[in-house]
Amino acid sequence: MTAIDIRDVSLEYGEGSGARLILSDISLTVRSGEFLSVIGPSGCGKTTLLRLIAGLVTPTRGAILCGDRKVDRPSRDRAIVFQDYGRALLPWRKIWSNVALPLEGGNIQGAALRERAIELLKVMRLEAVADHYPDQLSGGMQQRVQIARSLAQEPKIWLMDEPFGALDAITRQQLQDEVARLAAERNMTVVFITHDLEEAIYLGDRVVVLGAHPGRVVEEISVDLPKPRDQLTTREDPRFLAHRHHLFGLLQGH
Amino acid sequence: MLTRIILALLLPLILLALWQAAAGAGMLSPAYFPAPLQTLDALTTSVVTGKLWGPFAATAWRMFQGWFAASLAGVILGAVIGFSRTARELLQPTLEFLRPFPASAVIPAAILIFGLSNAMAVWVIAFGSIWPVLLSTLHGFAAIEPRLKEVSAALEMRPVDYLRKVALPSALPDIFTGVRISLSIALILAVVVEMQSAQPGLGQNILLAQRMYRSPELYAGIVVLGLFGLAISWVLERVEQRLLAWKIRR
Repeated sequence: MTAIDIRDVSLEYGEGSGARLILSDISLTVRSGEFLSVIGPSGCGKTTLLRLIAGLVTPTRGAILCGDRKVDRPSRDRAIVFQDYGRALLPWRKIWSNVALPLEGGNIQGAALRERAIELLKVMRLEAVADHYPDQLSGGMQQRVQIARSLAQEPKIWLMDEPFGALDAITRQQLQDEVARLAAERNMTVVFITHDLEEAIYLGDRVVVLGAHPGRVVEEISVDLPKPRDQLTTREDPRFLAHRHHLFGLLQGH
Repeated sequence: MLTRIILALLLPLILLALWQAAAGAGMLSPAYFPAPLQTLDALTTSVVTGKLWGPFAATAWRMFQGWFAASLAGVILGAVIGFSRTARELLQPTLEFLRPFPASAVIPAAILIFGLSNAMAVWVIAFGSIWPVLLSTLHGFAAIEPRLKEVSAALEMRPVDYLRKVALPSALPDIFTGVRISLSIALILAVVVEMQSAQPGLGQNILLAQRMYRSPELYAGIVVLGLFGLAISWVLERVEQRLLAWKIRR
């Protein structure tokens, strides 16, 4: 079943002779439950592609369908995890209250709201800092909070915009495994933007490579590595290395 | 804490003691510089006889009315203008132009329009003290983190929830800065408008004491105003610390 259907999408900024083509004729489908990695050099419009799927930006031409509905605005079904966790959290709310934000106005109220938020914090091993404020946490923990908040939304589609780009290597690997596990457990469809080639292969069922100026699809590969993956063995697997060689050449422009 | 208080009071106490000594030695004219103890005497007399409270309450109430009206109007206007880019581009230059306009200069015009009434005084105070709160509210709403707007959009938040949960808390530190500055301007204007338009209050008392060369009373009035200003800024600071605990924590 197709979860996201991107049909001949182009995006231009500006008008007339000053118009700049950001994305050119992108066509992609993402299967339900699939983990799609999108990689490309900076300026290729990969973040813009994610914003289009999220409904934060509307395409100049073409259309994006989620299920059978055309995307023309953001929806609770599609949770976004932004790269800049520091700006995406509400600094005046405690951690649990940040996570409770998507739950407010729903069926859960009062003390149960906090309990549900704490449950989600436990999933991310954050229950100890429930009553802290975001700026009291390290970057890795803040990003965990944002992930917990996106889970509170119970999304069908998880849109991640270079979520680990600003984190150190060890934290990044831990979060990679957590995201892979959560996506599988909750059967979410994931579009994962990254500039880290190994991360793209390690997480993805499929990797899409975008080229720059204008942004367009230059390659699509299926990653035939068994799941769940392992930071050591997967990365040493000859197939992993073969993918890495192939895509590395593409990203270097060979 | 106690040492800090003692240290802070040391200099004023020394200066007052010197003043007292100089006055006692006849080095200062009592008509211009009455001894501090005389001022204290005038102050306690006016407190004990109850002569102080009427004018004090009049000034405080007038200041509060003007400040409250200014804050309410300033926050609402500032929010509307801060939210809409068009409204901002249309109105902000005019507002910036009006801001440095000295409110005391509009008192004669206000007297002409409203007469020598309390309403006139409140209008002048409100006009003069609206600017800080208006402009800082405007800035607060215009400077909301764009990422948080996207987070709200992704959650399909209703506009009223966005205002309540994101925009207002985000703008609150700026609003508070404005409200605090507005309050000190409101106090200044309350006194000035009383002096210029013969409204009963501490400002008028000070002016009358000066005209009758009752300088201890004049200085007593100034001391009361100073203490009052100190007290209200202390109260506002406490309120701010409660409301903005997340920001002031460190």
